Amino acid sequence: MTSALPVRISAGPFAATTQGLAKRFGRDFALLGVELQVPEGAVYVLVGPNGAGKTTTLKLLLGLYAPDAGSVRVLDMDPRAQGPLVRAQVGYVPERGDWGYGYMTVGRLLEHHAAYFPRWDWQYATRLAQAFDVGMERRVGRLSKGVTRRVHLILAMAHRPPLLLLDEPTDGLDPVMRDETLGLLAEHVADTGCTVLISTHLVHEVDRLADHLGVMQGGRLTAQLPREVLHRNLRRYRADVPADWNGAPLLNGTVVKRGGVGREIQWSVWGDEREVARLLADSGATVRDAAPLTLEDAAVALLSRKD
Amino acid sequence: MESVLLNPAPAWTAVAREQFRSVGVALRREALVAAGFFGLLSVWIVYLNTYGFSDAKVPFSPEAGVPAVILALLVPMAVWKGEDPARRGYHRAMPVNHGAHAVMRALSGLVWTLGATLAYFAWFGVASALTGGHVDHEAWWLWLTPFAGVAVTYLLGSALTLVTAYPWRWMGGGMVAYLFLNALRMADGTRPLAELVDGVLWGRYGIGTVATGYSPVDGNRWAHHANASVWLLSTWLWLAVAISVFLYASYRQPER
Repeated sequence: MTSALPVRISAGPFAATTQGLAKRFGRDFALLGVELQVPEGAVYVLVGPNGAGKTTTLKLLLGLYAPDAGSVRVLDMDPRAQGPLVRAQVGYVPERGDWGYGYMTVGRLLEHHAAYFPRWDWQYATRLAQAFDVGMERRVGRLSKGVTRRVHLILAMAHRPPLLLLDEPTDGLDPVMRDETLGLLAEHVADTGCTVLISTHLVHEVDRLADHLGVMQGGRLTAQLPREVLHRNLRRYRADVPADWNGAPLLNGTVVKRGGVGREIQWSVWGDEREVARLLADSGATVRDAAPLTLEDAAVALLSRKD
Repeated sequence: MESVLLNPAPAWTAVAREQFRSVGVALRREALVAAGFFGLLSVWIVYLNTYGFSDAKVPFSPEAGVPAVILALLVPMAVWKGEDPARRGYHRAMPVNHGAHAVMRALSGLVWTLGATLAYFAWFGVASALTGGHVDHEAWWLWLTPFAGVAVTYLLGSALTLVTAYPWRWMGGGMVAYLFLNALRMADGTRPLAELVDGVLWGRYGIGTVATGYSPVDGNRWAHHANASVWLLSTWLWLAVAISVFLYASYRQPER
């Protein structure tokens, strides 16, 4: 078996890329050698545990931080050199809830934001506010976490940017509003053809939108691939093994997650299904089935990878 | 990326106009508190004058601007309320050059602050006229001094607010250190330092001269006289320092 997890996406063009990106805060590296590739028109979900470097990556794409090494390109522009123009193309939902001016009403904050985006669409903003059930007269600082999130989404979407950077966009939303929000986001993507980069550690919430997955751990991008490639190549194999089974050494390096009870093993393995099944059979195991993983299961498997 | 139709960046005039308006909204609460205070003070003065307290006369003098000069140091914290510049917040995520954007917001605050100083003096003028208070008829340029002082302290306060997430701590710490230094000024080790700090604040070209137009006579810190050329020089010096520090802070905000 030679098939390592892919960390490069072959099909371009890309809306956002980084090369050898590194960022340090004090002595600690938040990012190290990140090679992100977000294809144009994709909904790319960047998954990772807290502190993996997802938020830092998004801030580097916006030009809010300067990289310590490597380069960043967003819509073929360098955010450090062309920061204002890059930010004009981006709708950004930050991780923090206290973003925006708490002393303003929602309506005044939208007015403030609109002044920065000449293509701001008031009709669309009003429609989003109605759909999100956000009152224009309410003071931003007194909104609940979920309503604040919805305001952030209006700010990000109403100027119809070519790129949406959403940092934990469903954080704080109740299930009904989450469903509504994702529906509006799907509609927005279909209407505008924009690229979306979503950073989250709750993959199941954005499952229906995602078509690309990136996995970050400890400041490194350990895998990134289109969803169909993931679906095709990462499978959970259920097999019966003899009592004296010694494992399948030829699969070492491709087993993403090992599990099982008694003589039944359940391994998530990366590779061509027929070849993996053959190698398991050669080791003495009897493969009962090989099923594709849901996006969340795949993300959990990739994040808990030990091999 | 030819297939993507790029959005234009905003015109700087639109940004400057919006910054001016949004800073006005940010300062509304503080303005209401100040208006309430002066409203109550007005009622008190009217009451005293109505019931025969003939000594309740409000003087009209440039020196009344000293509290405004001190308060101007704190105004930037209200201007940047809801923003922690070092955290790469909302203000920095806008499609405008970071340094220029920070300058626009801070200068909007300066315009509002100078406007508030003017309103403050207008209140004194009206109150003085109504109560028959003493009107200072000294040199005309002395009326400019509070505005120069306000500009200097506001810009220094802005620089502090932009470079640190904790301007209150730095300001409070500085004040405590100054008081402590003065308390120990007779001790041999601290006296030179206390005199240096005093010189910067209240010396011939100190900030006190900028704010009042009065500078010490022959190094005597308790005797002052108005001197236009000394004031002009000290004002240029302090403005140059304040503008430099402010611009440095605006364009070199820390990452955190």
